[in-house]
Amino acid sequence: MSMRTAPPLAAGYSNTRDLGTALFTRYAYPAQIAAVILLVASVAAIVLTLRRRTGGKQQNIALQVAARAKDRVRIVKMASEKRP
Amino acid sequence: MITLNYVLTLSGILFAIAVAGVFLNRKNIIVLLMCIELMLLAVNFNFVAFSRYLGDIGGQIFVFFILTVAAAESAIGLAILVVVFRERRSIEVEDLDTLQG
Repeated sequence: MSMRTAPPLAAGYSNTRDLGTALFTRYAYPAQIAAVILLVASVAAIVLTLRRRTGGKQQNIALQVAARAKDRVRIVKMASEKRP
Repeated sequence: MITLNYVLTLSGILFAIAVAGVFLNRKNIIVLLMCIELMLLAVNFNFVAFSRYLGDIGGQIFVFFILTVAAAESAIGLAILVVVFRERRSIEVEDLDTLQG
C-alpha cells in the first residue's frame, strides 16, 4: 500500500459548506428518503414500547350515548297478588 | 504527516474490536448493539478517509446516510429490547433461547 497523504486543500476551503451544498442539491432526494426512514423508525419505536394503562377509570362516550332505556330497565308484567 | 495507512489501520482496529465484542460477549444484548454500532462507525471512518484522500465529497455524504440508518436501527433495537424485557424479565443472551437456535 502506498503511503499516501491527503491532497492539499485550497485556501479558504470550507468542508462544511461543501457538504451542505452537496447534501441539499445533488443528494436532496436521498436525504428525504433518510428523513422518511427516521420517521418510520421513531414511529416503530413508539408503537413497540407503547403500553396502555390498565385498571384506570375511563368512560366510553359512544356507549353512553347509545344507551337506551330498555338496556337499563326491565319491565316485568305479572298478575297482582292478594294481600295476605 | 498522517497517511492513509494510519487511518485505515485505526478503522480496522475499531472493526476488529467490534467483531471481537460480538463473539466474546455472552452476557448483555446492549453490549451487542453497541458492538454493531462500533462496526458501522469503523466503516464510516473508512468512508471519510477515502473521501478526503480521493477528493470526492460523496463519501462524506454517504456517511450521513449510514448514520441515519444506524440511528434507526438502534432506536428499533432498543424498543425491541424493552419489549423483550417486559416479556421475559431478562435481557441476558442466554435466556433468549425460545427459538432453540
